[in-house]
Amino acid sequence: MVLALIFKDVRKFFTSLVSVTSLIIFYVLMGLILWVFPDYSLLNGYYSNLDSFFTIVPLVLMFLIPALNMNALAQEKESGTIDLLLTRPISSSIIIAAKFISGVIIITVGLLPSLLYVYSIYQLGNPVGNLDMGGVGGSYIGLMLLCMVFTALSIFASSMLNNNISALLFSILICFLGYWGWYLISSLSLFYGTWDYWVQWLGFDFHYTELGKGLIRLESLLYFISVITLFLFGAYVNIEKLKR
Amino acid sequence: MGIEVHQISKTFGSQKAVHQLSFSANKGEVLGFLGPNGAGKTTSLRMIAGHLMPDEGRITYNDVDINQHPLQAKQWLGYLPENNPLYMTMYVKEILGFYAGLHKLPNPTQRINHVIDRVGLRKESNKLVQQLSKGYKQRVGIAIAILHDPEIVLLDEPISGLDPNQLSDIRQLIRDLAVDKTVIYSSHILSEVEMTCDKVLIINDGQLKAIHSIQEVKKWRQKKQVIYATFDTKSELHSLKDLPHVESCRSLGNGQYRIEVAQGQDVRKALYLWTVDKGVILLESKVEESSMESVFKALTK
Repeated sequence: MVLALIFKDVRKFFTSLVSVTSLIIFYVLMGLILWVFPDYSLLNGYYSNLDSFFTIVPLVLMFLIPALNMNALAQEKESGTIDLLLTRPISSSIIIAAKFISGVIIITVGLLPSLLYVYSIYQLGNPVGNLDMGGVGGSYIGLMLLCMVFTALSIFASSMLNNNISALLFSILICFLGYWGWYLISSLSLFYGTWDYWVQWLGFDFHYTELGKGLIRLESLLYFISVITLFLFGAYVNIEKLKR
Repeated sequence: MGIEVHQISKTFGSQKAVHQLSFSANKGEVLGFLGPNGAGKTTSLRMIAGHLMPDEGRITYNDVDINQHPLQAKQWLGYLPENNPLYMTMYVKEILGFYAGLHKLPNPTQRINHVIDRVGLRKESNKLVQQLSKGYKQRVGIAIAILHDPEIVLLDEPISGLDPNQLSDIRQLIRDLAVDKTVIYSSHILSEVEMTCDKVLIINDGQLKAIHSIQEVKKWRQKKQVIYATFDTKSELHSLKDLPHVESCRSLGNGQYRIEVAQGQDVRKALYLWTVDKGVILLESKVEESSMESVFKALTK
């Protein structure tokens, strides 16, 4: 059952011109920023690393992942196909889990070409291979967890609203607030110099940066898993509300 | 296998959509759900299908409560919602394959081909759903509802959008389904329900007004016939009511009359001879269709 749902969504994504175009735009944008424009170019550093990529990519994913998942549930609700799903012998939790797994598969496949960046920088190092692979590995783990969080947030937004565009805008907003909102709040005079560390601790970027240092801390893993669970549970509650 | 609906109610805000509805439907039976638009048919069917919880009451399939054991009960259910929601960018076979996967059908290809033939979709089976006409989309919806060979089939307005040829096919399909299934079929067209169902449940303002066998409904419809006749004269034609089998006659003005004729009688010949005799010309005549309101009045007395 879950597989049927996942297969449908993943297949729909990769046979949709709009979806594939959004991935192409993502790579064109990343390619320009990281290899052409000098400010964040990976070629300009003294050391071979992918720091620019891992700094820029969350900002792009903050828009890309909501765009990829905006119709996950909003469209099912708008077209009424959710009614047919809810009358099948599958629970709402299975529907949400399937939507989440589909979203993660899509963004994982979408990010696979970025491994070419790793290979390129590895080869461009002097000597060849002079790249902190531990840091890169940690960053990728952080990036995948961040993608999962953005996917969970987007599915939550999609479950709340019946319109794709509203779901897109709402999920961009909550992804932005989750990623940067806490950092911005920590700079308020109320917290600055006292609680600012703990306010920053609540944001995704704090834990993402920690993982990027190559430190796979249990605290950060638990943080990401909790946020994912919380928002998927919110999506589950929204779907259950349709029965009321 | 049967459905038992016991005292279900549903309120949206301050509006009581369904109030204390109870009935049962058995295997081998087509139950027609009849009522005007907004009567509560769709809300009732959504509750019976298990994707809308009643505020109170109980619904069971074969004594299994659908809200307490939804996964077990929903295995027996096939459902066509009112607006026939479909994934428009999928192919016909693909969409059926998706639902076959949800039900974990053991031999999906064979079953899909069987259902495609059964609902008459063979010629269209390689098309995208969005390329199909409304009637064929409706067939895809019915195919999805019966794909897993459910024991209970709920069809909410299944004939909307079908042309006359398709109508007769789908009517026959629904009759065939009822051989070994419980079928509930909603419509606001009385003649349609008459042709397809064994039993009619009449609902209005969310309340059950009556349940009758189809024979009772037919008997009522045949009780009297109402003819509207227009003549070329505006003078009173009192002798119309002296025609054989005419029970009453009333002038509606401008030469138009409402004539009630006894059950099963044909007054056309007598009416023609009467016009020749009186030297008047019959400009127009039509037989009144039994309106939903008149059916309600008669059947809920």
